[in-house]
Amino acid sequence: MSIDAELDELRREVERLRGILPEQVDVDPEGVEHVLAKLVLVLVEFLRKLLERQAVRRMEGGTLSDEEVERMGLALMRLEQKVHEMARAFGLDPSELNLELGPLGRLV
Amino acid sequence: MTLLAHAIAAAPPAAMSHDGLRGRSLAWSEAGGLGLWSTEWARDMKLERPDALAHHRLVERICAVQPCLPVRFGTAFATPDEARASLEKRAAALHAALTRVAGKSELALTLLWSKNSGASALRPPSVPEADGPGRRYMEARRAEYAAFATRRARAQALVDRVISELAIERPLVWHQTCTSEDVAVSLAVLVPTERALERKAELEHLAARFADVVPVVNGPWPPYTFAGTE
Amino acid sequence: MTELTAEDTSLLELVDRLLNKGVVLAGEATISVAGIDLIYLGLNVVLAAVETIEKAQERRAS
Repeated sequence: MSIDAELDELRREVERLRGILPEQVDVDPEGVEHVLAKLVLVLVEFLRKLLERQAVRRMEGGTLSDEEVERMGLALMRLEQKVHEMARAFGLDPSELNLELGPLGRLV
Repeated sequence: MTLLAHAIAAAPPAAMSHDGLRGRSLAWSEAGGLGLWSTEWARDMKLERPDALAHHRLVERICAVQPCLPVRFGTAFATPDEARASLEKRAAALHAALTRVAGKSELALTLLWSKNSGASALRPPSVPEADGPGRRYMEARRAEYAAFATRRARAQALVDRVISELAIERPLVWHQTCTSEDVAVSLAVLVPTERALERKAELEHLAARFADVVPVVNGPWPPYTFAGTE
Repeated sequence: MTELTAEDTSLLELVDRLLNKGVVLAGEATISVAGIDLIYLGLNVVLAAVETIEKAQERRAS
């Protein structure tokens, strides 16, 4: 799957989560749902960072036009904003979303 | 009777006081020539952070009287029979691991990035205003990754220096680089217990020579990092 | 960059060993609540999750 397609899919998933979580989830910081929401956000953040890394590699590879780089950058920037907004809505600082997955996980 | 596991040793159990966590009794469950030291726990009791540190002190006590393998904190068995079955199943691997760590202790070396280690390199450089916000975002990420790559390379070089200067065989060393923003290297070595303090001083001395990191040395500790059987 | 003291570092290294190293006797272990096995994301996360879930259950029961 191309990066654009992956980005689109991730963006749709994030939008879907935004739709689901505030309605069905008790945003009580002590609630079970809060713990589960955090797990979901951690995974989404991990995927987001992975995609970002792939995108930058492609840019470094010199195969993207200026227009594509600009579009990709904007999409990634917006995705970061959305995920971090969701985290804050759950009382989480975005830096808390770092999932330790050993050598794989320490992307940033 | 729920058992909260602490360490595995070869039979027979060494003589020691039977005080486990929170003043409860220590139990020995034996199978396959091995025994599990554990505290007789109550099902409804929750683990808290002080219990983790008490577990560490207990593992130290056990290691002082017989070679043992620390068990991951929080491991519990519903009954002594289940504990014994677990030992029986992995007996060969556990015996091999015990042989590996017998008479040895772990030293931990952490190298923290010092203030003059070029941390400013992590802040993205300014990109020409003419570029769009999307491009600027991409370039900022690219600079970040490059800075991290530089750090990672330097951390690996530090690891190589330490290992070569300690003149220690690779199977007795474990390491990870850049485990967090502050930590360049987290390294563990397995050394003969009788030489542990001497080796610790060696480690402190050699690590102090690196200008861009601050060393912290811990141990001697039970062989947590080298107890695995995977 | 935060200033990690030698003491902080030592505690972090020790806790990391207690929670993430040592012999893993998987399958027989794990902390479960009401028979539900929790996703193993590292024991520190599990411990925090257990506290949260148990508190939530206590509140619902009261």
